[in-house]
Amino acid sequence: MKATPARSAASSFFVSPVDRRGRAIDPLVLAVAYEVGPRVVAYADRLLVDTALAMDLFEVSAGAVTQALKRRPKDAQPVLDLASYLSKTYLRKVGLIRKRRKRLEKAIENHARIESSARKSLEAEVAVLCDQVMATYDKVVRQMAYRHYEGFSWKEIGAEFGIDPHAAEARYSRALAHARLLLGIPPPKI
Amino acid sequence: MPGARSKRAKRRKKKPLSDEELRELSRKHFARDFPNPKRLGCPPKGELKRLAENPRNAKESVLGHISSCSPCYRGYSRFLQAKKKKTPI
Repeated sequence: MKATPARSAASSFFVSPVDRRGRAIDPLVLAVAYEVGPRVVAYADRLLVDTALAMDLFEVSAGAVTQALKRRPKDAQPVLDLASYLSKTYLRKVGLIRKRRKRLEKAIENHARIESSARKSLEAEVAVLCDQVMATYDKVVRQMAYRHYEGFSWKEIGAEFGIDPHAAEARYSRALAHARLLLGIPPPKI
Repeated sequence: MPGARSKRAKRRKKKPLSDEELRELSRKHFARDFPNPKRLGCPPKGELKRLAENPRNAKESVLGHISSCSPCYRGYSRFLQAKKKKTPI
C-alpha cells in the first residue's frame, strides 16, 4: 500500500536520543517527541527556512525538557500534557532564534547604512581635494596627477616629463599635501 | 555612560585615506562627476590624443576642460591607457 505524504514524512522523522549538548533524552520525552515532532518541526522549518537548525533545536528542546523533569521535586504535580510542554519549549526556542536573526539583520542594515554614508563623505572629500589640485597647480603637476590616477608608475611619469621619478613623485606629493593642508584633510596612512 | 560614549566615538573616528583609495576615488570623480551630455566646449578627439601622447606641449584649454568634463576625461584616460600599453617601462 502506498503511504500518504504525511505518514511518509512522519516515518522518516528521527530524533537522536542524545541532544547536541550531550544530554540524554528521557524515553518518555522521546516518545512524545516522535508524536509531536513531525508537525512542529515542519512548522518551525517554514519559519526558519533551515531544516537542520529546526531539527537541532527540537532535540535541544527535548533535552531541556528531560532536564527540567529530572529537576522537578518528587512531590511536585506531574506534568499533565508533556506534548504541549515540549511543543511550547520548542516554539519558544524557535522564537528566540527568529528574534536573534532579526536583530542581526537590523545590525547589518545599520552597518551598511553607516558604511555607505562614510563612503559618500569620503568621495566628496576626495572630489574637493582633486578639484583643488586641478585649480591650483601648473600643467605638469596636473598631468602627473592624471597619469598617477590612471595607474602610471612614477618611473613612467618621470620618463614622460624628462625628470627623475622621485622628483615627479615629490612634486605631486607636495601639491597634494598643500591641497590637504588648505582643505584640512588628514594625511594618508603609511 | 560617559565611557561607552567615548568608545562609540572612537569607533566612528574617520580612517585616513590610503594612496590607493585616493587614486581610485579621484579617477571615479573625474570620470563620473562631470556629465556633459551635450558635449559643450569639448575639444576634438585628436587634441585629447595629442595631450596624452605629448604631455610637454599640453594646451591649457584642453587640460582645463578635462578636469570639468567626464566624457573627455574618459577619452583622455583611454588614450593614456593605450599609450601605457604601447610604451611599457
